[in-house]
Amino acid sequence: MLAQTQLTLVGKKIREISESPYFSKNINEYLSYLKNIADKLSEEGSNINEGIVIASTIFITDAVNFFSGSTSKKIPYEVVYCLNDACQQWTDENTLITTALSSDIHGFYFEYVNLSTQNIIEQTLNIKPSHDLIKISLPEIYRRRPLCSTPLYHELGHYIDSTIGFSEFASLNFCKKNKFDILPIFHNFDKNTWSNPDKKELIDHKQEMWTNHCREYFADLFSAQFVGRSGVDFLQRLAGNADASFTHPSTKDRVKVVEDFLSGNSNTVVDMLNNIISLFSKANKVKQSGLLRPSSPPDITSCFDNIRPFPITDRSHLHSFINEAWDYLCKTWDNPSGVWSELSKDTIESTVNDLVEKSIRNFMI
Amino acid sequence: MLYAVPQNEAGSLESIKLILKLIATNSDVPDSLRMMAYDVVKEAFSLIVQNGEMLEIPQHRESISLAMEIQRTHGLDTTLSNITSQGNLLPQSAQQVLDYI
Repeated sequence: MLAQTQLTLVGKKIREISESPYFSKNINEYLSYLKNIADKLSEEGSNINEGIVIASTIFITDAVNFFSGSTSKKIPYEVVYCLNDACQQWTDENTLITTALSSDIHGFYFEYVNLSTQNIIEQTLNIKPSHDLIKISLPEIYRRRPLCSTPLYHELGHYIDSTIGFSEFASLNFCKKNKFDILPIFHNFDKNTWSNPDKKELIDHKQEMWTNHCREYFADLFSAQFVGRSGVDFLQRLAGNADASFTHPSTKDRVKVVEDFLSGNSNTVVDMLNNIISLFSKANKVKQSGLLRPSSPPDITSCFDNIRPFPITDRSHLHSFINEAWDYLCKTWDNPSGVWSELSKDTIESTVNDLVEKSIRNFMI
Repeated sequence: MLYAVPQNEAGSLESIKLILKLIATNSDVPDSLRMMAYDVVKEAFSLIVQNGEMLEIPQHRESISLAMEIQRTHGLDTTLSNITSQGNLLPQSAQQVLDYI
């Protein structure tokens, strides 16, 4: 009974959202998909296994909740456009990125609908999804600040990793062979602590910690291959030089791995991940065969010096342009010259972000 | 999250848990789902024993998470090793696996 009531309520919510004027064609397609599931469950509920009805109802409810931030005019379209482009370079899946705005200044994170349940719905109800839905959250105050939204590339990296399983695969095939010291933090750990068989619980946690760190390195590198150093630079400014924790490597180690990758220096973390990505690519699980360094950045100086948007003409510059603009902002903030020397720091920051937004929007059009 | 909150990968095993729950409650489970659960178990064991020089990528994403779970949960491997065919996926064996994951 409860599942049926929830189904009726969520069905009403789907109809309400569908009537919102700000939706895109893709979102409407996805809503139709959800509506088809709800209709089928209502019509044939008594013939469908109760466990599947409950799981499907939760799936629909979660997906509907994703759209709460997408119904307003507040979507940072330019950033979402860039993220979609980055996502399509890695996966063949038809993804749909929605955004939510968080009141938390550190509120960068991502969620995605449960692909396992989606798979079960497809097999049992014979209803195919129009897209895989991804929701990315960013702090509301950065909504019109594309240069402060670079952590979203990192979050997208987590999505790619979660759906494909690079880090877990790495954990199974590298960590289990006691090659713990592939990751930087374990260089400094007391090896006697870890090799004590009486400390099984600790060893279990060690592997979990290893996997967590691996996830963060992958997400950092995923971001770096598009927006260069600007991702970890933002991290440093936001999080400071944080020490390693159970869930995250130290900021220092994260920056080192990204810098080695960007400068082409040999690095065991980068090599291990490239090795794994290549295996998944050969198995047609991912489009890219390895982490690629960002394309040569365009020279934006002459345009930005004259407070004009930069004309992005090449898709490969779409992301590397963001790194250049970030550098430009940092330099101009510290040492304003030319027309910028007449402006306050706040105006410099908002104007450079505005130029970035306009440059991307012009490319989109 | 960028630097503070652990990532949650638990969702990767949700479909397997759901299929096992259906089997455990004697529900009418479509053959395709039964087959998937069995394949995931088989692939997870292959992942655990595979040689570092000849790594193979599993068909199902869930197999990687199940292999991780086998590694960290004492006794799960023994329980899963009883599932040697699709026909072995009976309510009792499904419930035994669910007790671990």
